[in-house]
Amino acid sequence: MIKKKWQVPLFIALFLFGLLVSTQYTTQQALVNSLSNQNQEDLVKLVKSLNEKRARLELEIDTLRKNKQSLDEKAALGSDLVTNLQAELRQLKIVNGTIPVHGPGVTITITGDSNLMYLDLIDLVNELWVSGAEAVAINDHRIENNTIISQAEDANHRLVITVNKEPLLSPVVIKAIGNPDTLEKGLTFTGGIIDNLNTLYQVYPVVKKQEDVVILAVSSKPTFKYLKW
Amino acid sequence: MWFPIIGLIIGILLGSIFTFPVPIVYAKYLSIAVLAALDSLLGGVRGILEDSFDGTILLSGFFTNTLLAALLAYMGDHLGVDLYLAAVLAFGIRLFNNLGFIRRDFINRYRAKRKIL
Repeated sequence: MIKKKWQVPLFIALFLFGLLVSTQYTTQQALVNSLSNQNQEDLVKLVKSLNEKRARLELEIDTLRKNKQSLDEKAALGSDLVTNLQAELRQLKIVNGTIPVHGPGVTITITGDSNLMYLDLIDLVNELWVSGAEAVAINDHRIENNTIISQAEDANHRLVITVNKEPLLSPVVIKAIGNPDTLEKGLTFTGGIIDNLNTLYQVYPVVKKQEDVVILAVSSKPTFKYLKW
Repeated sequence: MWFPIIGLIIGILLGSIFTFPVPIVYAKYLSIAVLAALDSLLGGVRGILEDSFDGTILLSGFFTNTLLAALLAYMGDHLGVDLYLAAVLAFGIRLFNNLGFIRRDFINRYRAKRKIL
C-alpha cells in the first residue's frame, strides 16, 4: 500500500524535473553558442570574415546596381521604340485607310438627275486633296492609293460611274475630313470646280460643312503578289 | 517501480519537443532551480528507502525549493551578493548527503536480504 502512495507524487516530481532539465539543457546550449561565450580569437576571426563577406556583398550590390541601371536604360529605349512604332503604325493605318476615322469636314451631295461624269468625281476628289483634305470617301468607299474611279456599262448598256469596280448609286455623297472652311472655299470659289460644274455641265453639287464626318475603313486590304521588301 | 521513471521520460520528451525559449539571462537561475529540484527528488528517494516518505512534503519541497532557489539567486544578482554560489553550495552538499544516505540504505537493504536468505 505504501508503494502506491509514493508513486504518484514521485511521478509528478520526476515529470516536472524532466521538463525542467530539458528546458535547461536547450537554454544552456543556446548560452554556449551565444557570442558572449565565444573566445576572443574566434570572435576576431568571425568579425574579419564577416567584414570580408560584407565587402564582397557590397561589391556585388554595386555590380548588380549597374546591371539594373543598364537594363533599365535598355528597357526605356525599348519602350520608346515600341511607342514610336505604334504611332507610325497608326499613321500608316490612317493613310492606308484600314481604320475608320472621323473629324470635322464637308459633305458634297450630288443628286441622281445630274449628268455627272466619273472625271468630274476625280476632279472633285483631287480638288479636295489639294484643299487639304486628310481623308476622303465617296459613298463610303474610302479613297486610298489604289482606288479606281472609272465607268462601265451596265446591263442596259448605260454608262455608270464605278468606284473600285462597283457601280456608284445615287445620290453621290463625297465626305472629306479637313478644315471645313478651307475645303469649302477650295471647292466653291469663283471659277473653281463647282462653279465650272454648274456652268459647263449643269451639275449642282451641294457642299455642306460638318462638325463631325465619319469615314469608314476600306472594305478590303490590298494584297501583294510581286511586291518584295 | 517504473511508473515514476516513465514520468521522467515523458517530461524530458515534452520538454525537448516543445522547446520553451528561456532568455539567456535567466539560464543561471534555471540551472539553480534544476539543482534544487534534483535535491528534492533525491530527498524523496531517500524517504522511500527509509519508509518516511510523504508525497505532500516532496511536492511542496520540490516547488518551493526550485522557486526559492531561482528567486534567491535572482535577488542576489540584483543586490550584489552571490547568493547563487550559496545555493549551489547548499544544494550540492545536501545532494551528496542524500546520495550517501541512499547508497547506505541500498547496501543495508541488500545485506538484510542476504541475512534473511
